[in-house]
Amino acid sequence: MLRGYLRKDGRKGIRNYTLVAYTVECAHHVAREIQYPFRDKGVHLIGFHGCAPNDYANQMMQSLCTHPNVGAVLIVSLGCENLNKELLEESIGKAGLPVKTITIQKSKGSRTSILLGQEWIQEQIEILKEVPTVHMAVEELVVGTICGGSDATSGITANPVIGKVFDSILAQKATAIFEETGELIGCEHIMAERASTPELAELLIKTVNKAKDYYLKMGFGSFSDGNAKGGLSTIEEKSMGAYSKSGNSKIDGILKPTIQPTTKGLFLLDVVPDGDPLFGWPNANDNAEIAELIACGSHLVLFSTGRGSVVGSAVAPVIKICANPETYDNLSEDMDINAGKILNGDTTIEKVAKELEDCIIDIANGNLSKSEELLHQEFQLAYKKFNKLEPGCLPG
Amino acid sequence: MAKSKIIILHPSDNVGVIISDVKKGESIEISGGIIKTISDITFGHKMALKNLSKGEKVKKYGVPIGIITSNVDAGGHVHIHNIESLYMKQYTK
Repeated sequence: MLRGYLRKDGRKGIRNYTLVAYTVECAHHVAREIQYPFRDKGVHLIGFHGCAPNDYANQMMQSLCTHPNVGAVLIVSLGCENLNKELLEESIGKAGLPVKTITIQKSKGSRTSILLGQEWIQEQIEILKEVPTVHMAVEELVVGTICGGSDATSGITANPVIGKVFDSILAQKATAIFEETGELIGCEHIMAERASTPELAELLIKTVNKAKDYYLKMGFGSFSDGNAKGGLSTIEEKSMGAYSKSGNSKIDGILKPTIQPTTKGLFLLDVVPDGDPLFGWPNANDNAEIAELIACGSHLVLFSTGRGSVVGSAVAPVIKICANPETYDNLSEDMDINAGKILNGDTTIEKVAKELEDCIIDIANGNLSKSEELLHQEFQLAYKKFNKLEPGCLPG
Repeated sequence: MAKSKIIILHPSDNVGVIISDVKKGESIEISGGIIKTISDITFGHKMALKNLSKGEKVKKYGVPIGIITSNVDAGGHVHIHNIESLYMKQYTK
């Protein structure tokens, strides 16, 4: 049994963070000054650089500001930007959370806005301390996964470990989300066999084909000489390495960023924009993808890394699973789990999966992950465009 | 227990991943027996767990990751010289 924070919509969070959310780059400095003194007190900074309007950015900001890990939100606006801050404030209010907007242009400037913001944050911290926790079941957890800084070890240690953990938590009726359709090219037909319906099987293949077309247009090749030198022989073998994070359970649906699963189960998050490439790469870096996993409701994110990423995230804890034993020795202060020790030949994927599952429960219960302890609160949100989900993507 | 030199990712796999460089003729312990390598195999590369014939599917992670293009005996190195993508053949022009 876990403990969590009950929200108005019935969801439970594993943290009770306060967010400072800026609505355009012009308000970033003021927002950062407000947040910085409180960065080790559960106050995180998110925002959108803007300024031109973008539906995806509006929806991302709404989903993150009403995430169950969030207990209060301060919106910091310049005043003339296009992001729909009124709708943002309204949706946070509807979610039952304390919310305040500071508009710099109407608040006598930067210094006054910073002082006003810090005062409000201080009050919220005191209020949030008193919020009682409630029992939370493992089946109420939503867990996302991503890999970044991968190397030849990722697909044989950390990723299969995460796959085993996904199978285990799905058997306990939790919800799990995997993504990176661009790295699934070559195993989409293998993946389709795990779809819960024939219709979903076709949609899974279609989703990977969309990624394939997008990356081709961006001039991206998928199988390199370096892959072959590392021991990978075919594109499907390479993709299986990334795909193995998803485990072996049946796949229940496809999500797009900010769409939250309406039932429990295993979901593929399609992060590749619809239509022709408009704003550049689907995601410029790992944190843009982590933010999308969180915007789909993930309470925490399992991050597999071989070469050694050190990032965390705003809004939800990131648990880092290191695939390579040499990287672990070098970066142990940043890594939560050493899956690389499997390569030393004295432990197994199953044993490390048990260790990771215990770690998830521990961190869901309020203990800090390495990146949280180190105050890694990276956040990235860029322009994107998505069509609505096609019928058949979500169960029932 | 001796340290394992191979990872077998799924019980139905017919190849394993070598996790420390091995020389030709080395004994590799797997559950249910010992296989002698018939070539040098480096870290991250695959070794056949049984004799594999041309046309047979190579299984890793419990799924086919390619097809054998020339026979390889147990203990042999399975790589681009004797395996071909099924995906490239079936799904690309």
